[in-house]
Amino acid sequence: METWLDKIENLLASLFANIKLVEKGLLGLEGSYVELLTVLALGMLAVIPIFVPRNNRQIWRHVNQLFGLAIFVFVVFTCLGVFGMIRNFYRGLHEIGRENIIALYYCSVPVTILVTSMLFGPAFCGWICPTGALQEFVASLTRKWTKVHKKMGYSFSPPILIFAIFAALVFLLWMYRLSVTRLFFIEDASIYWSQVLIILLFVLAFRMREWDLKLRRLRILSFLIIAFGAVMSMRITSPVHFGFAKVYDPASFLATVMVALAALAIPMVWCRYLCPWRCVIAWAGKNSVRYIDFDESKCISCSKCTQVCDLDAVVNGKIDIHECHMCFKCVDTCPENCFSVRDDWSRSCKKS
Amino acid sequence: MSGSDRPVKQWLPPVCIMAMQTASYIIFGISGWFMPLELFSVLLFLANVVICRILIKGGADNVLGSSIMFIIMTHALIGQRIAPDSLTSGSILMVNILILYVGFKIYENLSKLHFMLFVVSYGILFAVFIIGMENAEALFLLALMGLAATARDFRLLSYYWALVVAFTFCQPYAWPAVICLFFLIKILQTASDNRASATLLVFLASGLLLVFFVLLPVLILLADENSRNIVNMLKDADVLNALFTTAITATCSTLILTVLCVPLAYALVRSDFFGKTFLLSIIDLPIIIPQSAAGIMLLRVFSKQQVLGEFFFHALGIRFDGTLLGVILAQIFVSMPFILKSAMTAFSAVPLSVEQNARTLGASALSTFRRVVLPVSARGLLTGCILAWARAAGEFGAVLFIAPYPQTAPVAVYNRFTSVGLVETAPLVATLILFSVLLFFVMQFSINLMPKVHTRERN
Repeated sequence: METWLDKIENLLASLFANIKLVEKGLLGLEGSYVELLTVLALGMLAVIPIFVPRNNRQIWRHVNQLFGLAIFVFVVFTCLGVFGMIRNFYRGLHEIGRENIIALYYCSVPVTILVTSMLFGPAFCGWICPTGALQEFVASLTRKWTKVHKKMGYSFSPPILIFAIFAALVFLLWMYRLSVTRLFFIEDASIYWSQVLIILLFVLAFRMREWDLKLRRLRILSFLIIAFGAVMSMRITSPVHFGFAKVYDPASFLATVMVALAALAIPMVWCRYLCPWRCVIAWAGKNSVRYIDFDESKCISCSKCTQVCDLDAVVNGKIDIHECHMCFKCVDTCPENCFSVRDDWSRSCKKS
Repeated sequence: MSGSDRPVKQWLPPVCIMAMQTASYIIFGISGWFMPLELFSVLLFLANVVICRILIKGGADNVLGSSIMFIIMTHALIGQRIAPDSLTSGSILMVNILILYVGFKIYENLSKLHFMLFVVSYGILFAVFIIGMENAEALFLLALMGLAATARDFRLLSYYWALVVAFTFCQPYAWPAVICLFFLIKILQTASDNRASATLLVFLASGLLLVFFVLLPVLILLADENSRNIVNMLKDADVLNALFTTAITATCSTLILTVLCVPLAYALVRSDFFGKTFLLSIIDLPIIIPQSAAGIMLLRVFSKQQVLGEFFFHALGIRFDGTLLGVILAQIFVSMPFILKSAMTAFSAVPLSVEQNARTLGASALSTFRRVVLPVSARGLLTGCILAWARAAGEFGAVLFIAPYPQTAPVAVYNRFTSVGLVETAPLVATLILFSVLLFFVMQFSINLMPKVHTRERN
């Protein structure tokens, strides 16, 4: 009776020999109020999209993103990162009633992001998120190529394939170097994510047009994985997490490099296909007060908005609310001013 | 709103506040009560200057802007007194401004009821976290942010309150409470969407509260248990044996019951005879007799030294006490009414005309039963089998008396409880619950695989 269970367990143990479970959530620095700073900073950054002048909005957005990067580099020392937020939210909810201050530390960032997303739309993704900012800045280098391929509708695209092979090579070499010296903890789970990313790149090189929307459902899967990890008290790190803790974390850094490389080929590839936090923000954004309104009568079907959107969220003015990052690029490029940013407080919540 | 009507006085409130702030900075600075040149105070002063400029130009709503300025000023003056440091004070300020903004917008754009609810919610949160609890200011901040996001919609607000209630008052068991409350709210909302009357809603709410109250222990036990403990439980030979014993005996008794009771049910439905009513009422007897009494009764009759038991032992060499047969016997005894009753319900739903048609077309009585009646009533029969199986697998009282060994799962739980205590038994119970729930879902799913009768009839 015992043998087959033991066999399964041994098999699992041999598969994940380099993973160890960690009992605690990531702790902030002793006595620091750094999480409160993030509430402050995130709150302000979320409010800025309302006030910035229309004519230079995209420049302001990039400035905002830079601030976001700076804040996150600072805050990463405590507990951030896309995955960390979900896990720490779970932790924080558990601390309510026991250690209220700790609960505030853990919950403040996710709650701030959720609340601002429910009020001001999913602007976090387009204006603040450091992963998004990194990808966008990197992608601007190859915008010429990616734009052409987007116009062609992403049929089989040699540049994407080349980038994918390049990324895979970098990944393999790096892994080889790391594996000589390092034991991998589950801490280094971002390695798995970078693997997924590379496989995804190869898939996308051939089948992007057909499978784009289907592959975006991977986000739900990755959210489930992270939530499961949080419940099982596993730590899973994400890209843009490399300054993490006192230990230099090469896995996370590697994952960050992978995301950046992949973004060269496909802008915002992480947000499109893998970001787990994006599911939650999309839900909040769906119910948010602020939204982008489209006046169809003014539209001249120039499809500039379709071209300018990094996420393929706009098709001739129709905005897919699940994908929109509220970067307002379409609003700013539209020659006929079809788009307008509206606040509708009585907007009824969509029935699921 | 009133400010924009009279543009002459538009500059008045912001400038007044500016003047007040400057004056108090100077006065308090001189008296040494606080330091106006500290970074935080200077920042807040500058923020107010900027807002004041915007307001004078008419770039924003005057009332809202002035209120925000006022809040900023108060925070600059007393913020550091109520918060441990300027960062905390700053984040409290952020939250306050957010609440003010949301409240203002709700007042402006939505009904009075929304605004009332918003204010009342704020009051309750304040009473609960600041007055009622010690050291809960942090929670108050979190809760306020949530309120700001959800106050504009009744649905969202109800979910929000469910969250708050679950995570502050039901803390160790917050997740089960959240699941129950969310489910309840969802049910009520969809019911009211489908135009259920107020009475029905009250019935639903009160009844469901009881249902959840009863079901809550299941969720709690599952949520409490570490998955590791469950895996360890499964590696225990005793537990595995008990699980296998339970599965085998329950399946056996269900099979026996199905083979014998389903035809019996058909006969009872389709025939008339002397004492039918009496027989029908006697079927319920195993439900009415207490399980322990049933166990002792069975022991009295079937154990080795007693009348029937002795006969079986000497004539056929089988004994019931302490064997699998005994377990099966007890299980058959307690679960018979379930399968019989549901089979009878299923059969009586089969229209007589269908059977008669089959007979006139030349089918024999047996083949009518096999090829017409059974498929038509398959769903009901399967439900009966599942009920009987579940009853048999869960039987404790009767089994304990006639066959305490080989252990079935319920007996194993009892033995473990009496020998090692509550804490050690909990993982086993969680394992059992998990298994039962899984099995239950599989079985319910399998019911859906059975042919649907009524739709086919209409076609």
